[in-house]
Amino acid sequence: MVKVHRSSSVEWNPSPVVALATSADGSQVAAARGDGSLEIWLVSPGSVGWHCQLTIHGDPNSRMSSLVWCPWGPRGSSLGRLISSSIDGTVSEWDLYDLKQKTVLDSIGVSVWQMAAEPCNNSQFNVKKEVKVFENGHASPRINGGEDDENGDSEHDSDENDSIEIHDDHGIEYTRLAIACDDGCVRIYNISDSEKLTYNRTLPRVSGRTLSVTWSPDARRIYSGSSDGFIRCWDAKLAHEIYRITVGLGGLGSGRDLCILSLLALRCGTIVSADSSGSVQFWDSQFGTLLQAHSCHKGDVNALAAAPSHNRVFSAGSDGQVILYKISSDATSSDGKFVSDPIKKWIYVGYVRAHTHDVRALTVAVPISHEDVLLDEKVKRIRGRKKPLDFSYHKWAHLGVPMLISAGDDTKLFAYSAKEFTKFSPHDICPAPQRMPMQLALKTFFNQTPLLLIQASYWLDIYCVRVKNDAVSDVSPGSSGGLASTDLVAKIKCKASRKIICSTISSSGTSFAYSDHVKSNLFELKRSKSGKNIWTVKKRQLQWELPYAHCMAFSSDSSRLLIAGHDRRIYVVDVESGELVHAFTPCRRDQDEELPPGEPPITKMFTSIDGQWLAAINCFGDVYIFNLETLRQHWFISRLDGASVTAGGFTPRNSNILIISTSSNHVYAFDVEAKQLGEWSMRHTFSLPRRYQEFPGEVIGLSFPPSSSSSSVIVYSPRAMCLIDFGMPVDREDDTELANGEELTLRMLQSNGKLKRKLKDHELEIRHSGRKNFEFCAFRDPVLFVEHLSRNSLLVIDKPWMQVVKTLDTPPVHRHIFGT
Amino acid sequence: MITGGKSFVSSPPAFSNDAKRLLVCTGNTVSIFSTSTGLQISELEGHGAPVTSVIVVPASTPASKVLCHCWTASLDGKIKFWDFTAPELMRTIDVRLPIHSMVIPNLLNQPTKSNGKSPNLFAYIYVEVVKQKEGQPNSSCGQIRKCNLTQSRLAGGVNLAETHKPGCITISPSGKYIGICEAHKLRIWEIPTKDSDNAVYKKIRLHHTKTFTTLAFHPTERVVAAGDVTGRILLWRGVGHRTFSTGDKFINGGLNKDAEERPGVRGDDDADSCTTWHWHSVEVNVLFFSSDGAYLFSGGREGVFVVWQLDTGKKKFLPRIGSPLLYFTNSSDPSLSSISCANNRIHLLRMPSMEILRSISGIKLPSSVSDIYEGSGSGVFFDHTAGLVAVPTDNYSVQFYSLFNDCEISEVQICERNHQPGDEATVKVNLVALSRDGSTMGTVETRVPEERIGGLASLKFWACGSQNKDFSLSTVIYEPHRDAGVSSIAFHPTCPMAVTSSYGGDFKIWVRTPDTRLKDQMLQSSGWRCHAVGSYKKKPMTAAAFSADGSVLAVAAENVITLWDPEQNILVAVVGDVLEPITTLSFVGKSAYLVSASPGSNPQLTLWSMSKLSTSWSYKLNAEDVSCSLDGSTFAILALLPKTSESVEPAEGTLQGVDGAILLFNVENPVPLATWFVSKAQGGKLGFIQTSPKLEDEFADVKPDHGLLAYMNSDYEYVLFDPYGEKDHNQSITREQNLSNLEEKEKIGYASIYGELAEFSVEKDQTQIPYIPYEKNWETIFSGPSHKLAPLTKLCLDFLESSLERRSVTVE
Repeated sequence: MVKVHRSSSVEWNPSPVVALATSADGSQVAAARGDGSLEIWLVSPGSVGWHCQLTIHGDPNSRMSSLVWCPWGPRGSSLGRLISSSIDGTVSEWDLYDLKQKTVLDSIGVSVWQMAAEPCNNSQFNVKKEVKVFENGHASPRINGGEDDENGDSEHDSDENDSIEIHDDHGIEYTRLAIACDDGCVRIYNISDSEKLTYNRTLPRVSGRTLSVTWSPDARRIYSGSSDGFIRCWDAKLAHEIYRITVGLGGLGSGRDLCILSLLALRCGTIVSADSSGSVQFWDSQFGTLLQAHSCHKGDVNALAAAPSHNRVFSAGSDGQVILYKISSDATSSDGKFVSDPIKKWIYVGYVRAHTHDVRALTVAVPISHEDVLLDEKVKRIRGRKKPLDFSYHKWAHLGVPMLISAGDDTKLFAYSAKEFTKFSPHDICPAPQRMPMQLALKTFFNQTPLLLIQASYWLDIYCVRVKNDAVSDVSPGSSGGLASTDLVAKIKCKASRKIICSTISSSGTSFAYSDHVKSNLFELKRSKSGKNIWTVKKRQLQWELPYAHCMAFSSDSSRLLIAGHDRRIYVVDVESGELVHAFTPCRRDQDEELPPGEPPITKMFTSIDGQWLAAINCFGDVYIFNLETLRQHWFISRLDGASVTAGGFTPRNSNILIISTSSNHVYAFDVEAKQLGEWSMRHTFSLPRRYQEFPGEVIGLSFPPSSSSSSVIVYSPRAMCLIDFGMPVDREDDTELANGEELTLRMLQSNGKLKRKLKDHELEIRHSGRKNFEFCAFRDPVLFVEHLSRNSLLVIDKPWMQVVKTLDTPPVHRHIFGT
Repeated sequence: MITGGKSFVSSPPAFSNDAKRLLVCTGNTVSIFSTSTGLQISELEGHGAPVTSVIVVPASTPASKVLCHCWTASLDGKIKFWDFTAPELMRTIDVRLPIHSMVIPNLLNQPTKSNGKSPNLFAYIYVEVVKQKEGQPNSSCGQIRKCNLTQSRLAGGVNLAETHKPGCITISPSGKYIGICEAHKLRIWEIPTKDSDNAVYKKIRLHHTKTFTTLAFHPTERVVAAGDVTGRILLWRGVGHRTFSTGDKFINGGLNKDAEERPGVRGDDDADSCTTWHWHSVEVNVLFFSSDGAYLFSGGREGVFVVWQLDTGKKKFLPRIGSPLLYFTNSSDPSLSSISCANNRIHLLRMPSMEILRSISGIKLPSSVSDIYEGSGSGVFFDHTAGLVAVPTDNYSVQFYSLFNDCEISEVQICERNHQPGDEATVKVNLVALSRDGSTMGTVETRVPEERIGGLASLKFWACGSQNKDFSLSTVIYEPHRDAGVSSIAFHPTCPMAVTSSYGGDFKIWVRTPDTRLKDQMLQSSGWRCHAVGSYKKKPMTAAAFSADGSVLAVAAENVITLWDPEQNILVAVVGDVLEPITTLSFVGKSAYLVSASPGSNPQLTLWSMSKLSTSWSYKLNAEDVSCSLDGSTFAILALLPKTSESVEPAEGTLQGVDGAILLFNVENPVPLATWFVSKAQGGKLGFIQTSPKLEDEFADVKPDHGLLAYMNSDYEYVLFDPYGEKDHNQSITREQNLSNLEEKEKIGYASIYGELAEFSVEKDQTQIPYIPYEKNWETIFSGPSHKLAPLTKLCLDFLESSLERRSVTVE
């Protein structure tokens, strides 16, 4: 029985999400946070949790206002170009290869409130094909809107218009970017081949501030909304105003100005506006007349989003609600006769309130990545009083089914089914947003006391973990679990405005390292015999100026520091001398090693206990195995079923075995020396129990018992952990796992008191039946870190979410964004 | 015999076609009220059980608007067809099953056929059917049957639905759909346009997680709204696009919706989308679409009428109706609608402005909240002289209701506190008593303790201002008997004196101090103060009564009766010993007898002779109430029939629901003079009422000292009869006809806007001064602007005429 020691004393201050954008293929969602960092989330269907693929730390001092993911860049990057605008007037691009923020437009002097990219008129799925067509220059630029199967007939006009337009532009096809500026202008820039944006034109300056901008689907018109309550329709080519709509009822000067905070132009020729009075209004784009008005929000409406079929619209606002509107055509008249021209109305359908704070952004994504075939098995659930709500995600999130993602000031992201919005409760994508990286050094020089390294945004904390032996309890998420006390040993602050990217501590605890945007730093931790402050931290001067790193690790004997630099090489540094020992260049094939590094950035590194192996994993899930003794690349494992790697590690029992957990919830065991899939993995990886596929939340780590005899591993997510014993059989009995799912939700719902007895009974029962493998244990509070302290004891670092909410900057009420 | 006090709100009412009359189901009859005055015009009598549905035959042509026909259905299993202007019964159809609801869709979508032969008229009735099942002998269930009204028979074999309990059928305004709420689902049928005996019905079901309470159909679109017990309103759009759209041509255009395209709709329900509105905090009882379909009206337990704008979901409210809403009915006049409230009131609403024009109010129904306070009776008090009954109501007031006229006289707010329907009642008016001359009222109210803190009884004396019972508060006495509850209050027959007895073991005599001028010339207003306190062996005092001349006060001290001199407060005598505590004491008229009743396990009704101070005779009867005639020597008791004897009772099937009997006694004779069996006697009340002076002539044969006996059952339905009339002779006392001919002349056109024009006589305008027309009027014929000139043909005639020679005529 594993003993659990909990600690909730860490400070955890996640930052609110300010903007969202979906990649062109709908498989990734970028979330910009208030602290200037950006996260790329992999949209995953089925029961698999979402995976935070990348985190890029940008300029913490500039507040992002809008995020645009242009479908394709001329430079051929398949991911497209992710562009963000900032309140200070700059526009930056996020380089997903070098993991950094690059300014593509220097400040224009006024704040940028919103950006809109010209709609790409072709389908999201045949982007590359279309590009090729243009490059050849011969093929007709007539595009058939292949994806518009829902609204097929309404599309033909616009498509024809597109072709004309393309010819007018002399074949130079730049995506144009419209920027709504504070001075009342809408400026248009071209996203060109060059690094910087090129200026195209400025629409005439109008009174008020332009707060929102959008393109019509045929890219011939631009709609802009301003702070004085007008929506203006512009001709994109001639830059003159076609008409304007007065949204504000009282006009100017009567009370507070009405701000048009978001605009949406639908394919059916309807403009949707969201304003600061809490109303969402639908307008006819041809005449600018009001079709419908709904004032269901009790505060600013911050964001709008449309389902891909453009027949439903979502709005979200500062009251934390996400509201669905649907077009409804009443095709029958009272006498039941068929009416040739049915009246279409946008009706309010329902709302979901998942956020506790303002919702800032909405986006729609379509999962296209791998989906587990196992899910097709119909499992009949026992209908109980408590429905296992946490498991409803896999019922609606399927391949190609659009989903809506909302995010806001409560730092969380939620995914909703765009089609069955009211039917399913939203899915919490990240239960632990902006989790702080942590590392535990077990047997340190200091009385073998474990040391815990916690990396915050601007400082590193090193804690000494002490276990209270009298207060230990069984594996249970209850608050009655044993507590572990953490005493602060050292706090290392870095320079202001230099965010820490990565950090590591050696297993002996004597040295630790971190890297910011400028360089990597190595420190020595010592325990001085005299004086009050018994801990001293000394900065080690490295002989060679190391580049800043994306990832760092120490070898198991603490003698070498491994740095995955931003130049895509892996540097091996001798800790004692500070000298560079070797620099690896990860590559796909052996002979490529001499070429300049071109592989994606390494985001994870693991070293084996015997010090022989280094596994470096890039952000797409490719694994590079290096032999640290021969200093050569040993093996390259291409990404496993197309999924990213969420966690991994070498087993302490056999240093040749590498365990990898992927974002599609598969567990692989590799025999590194033999360059093959391990025996266990051969047999079981593709036949893992169903309940493991439904693991709640993204797997964020593995923990091995520090004993050479153990063959088990604990896989954990912010919500639950699971024990996998590689020495035990994997059984896939559906009936028992059913009960298990119920049990799990029960535990999650109420986790103390009398339920504990039930839990014990349950575990007893499990032991009787001899099943221990893939046993779940759910957490009550979001867990940041789980690691074995010894073979039978576990350190769990969690934090009640309510305490986190209290530390958030914004109160859970509306705060006006305009005028900051 | 006068009956009254019926519930007006047991079933939804109906407007006549000209919206001038409102047909209200009142018990076994249908009462017709005028909407302009709110007074009753006439009554349709004929059903033998409560009427559950009334349907006015709508006017399809303007000519038929004068027709005033209606169909009624009742629990006695009969459907009747009336001309309600006459009123005259035209047809009766007996279906032999209790009908709980009836709709006639054909009336609304009349197929305009000109071939003379009108198609059969079908009604859909929700009947209660007793099923014989093995094991459970008497399990009743609801069934929706179809009845051919033209041929007066049930359509054979048609049973649309079978439910656990019969309820209410809702019909769409177009008559195309009918629907019912059944627990967690709605069932909707489409009525074929050409309905026949064996028509095929298309039906759909809509599901929800909560229990539905009501539903409504949109007048033009396929929109269905339903309310549930939690206060949510669900709004389905595009209901039945798959099922009901029959034409094949119709299916193609964009209606091939896959399952995921229907937000909010549960399962495979046939609807496009479902929107939930949640404003009501408790169950929704009323849902109704406005006739143009732009608004949805809703109401519920909290007594607020809400108007929803259907497109935007914006709300308008009519608050402070003060009682749970039950039904909403609209009329052909779009500005006039009615809402029925649970406090037996029907409000007539002027619709766009949502303003209550007038109210038709019946007797306030007894509080649905069970008696939380021990020992408190129903508190109903009969005013012997004025023919009124004072009824404590839910909203902390006392309603005065005229028994003869069956209408509300006034309402006195006892406690300054707003009543919020649905809230837990924290104050209850327990006791009401009026002095014999009707000039003073005493009330006792009890504040229910919360968490056993704050319970308070207060005694209030009220002075009557004028004739129509508007009382003003004279004295408030908090905790008249410390923290003990007040068991009874009685007034001295002649002088301003009252007695209250308490369970705490004492009684207090209160007297009114007359207006006195103090030394400093300050006017000391009249008030009541305690005159004397008495107790007997610390026994709880359970009842009190003054003798007819007021010289003796009898107070029941649990099992014994103590007799006091009220002026001197001297214990005169102690009589009797009964087994159970006495709850009712009454001196029989001016005779020297006292009657006491003590219910319980050993019930006893005892007549005590005051002259001998001993029992005259006694019965082992569970008397619910005792009433004595004021002057004579008779008294009536309301006895509850023992449960066991019911089977032995020879009354058997004909007297279903009978659980009590009224026995009329003379003091001399222990054999009752007369017996009447009554139902719902538990909690009922008896009272002798003086025939009002207006009725004297009609009751010439009745001795004036006897008066009438009023019996009010637990539902506050009352009957007023002459106890001394011949038993078989069902003397009909016609109600005082205030139901004048209310058919006032309709104002149309100009008059409806600006009112009547002042009458002026044409003769007077024509002055008597003789005048001679100017002979040469042709000179002026053509003068003036040309556009004012008459047509040439006319002028020419005049011109020629004037140019002719004419004898001068003097016009007189």
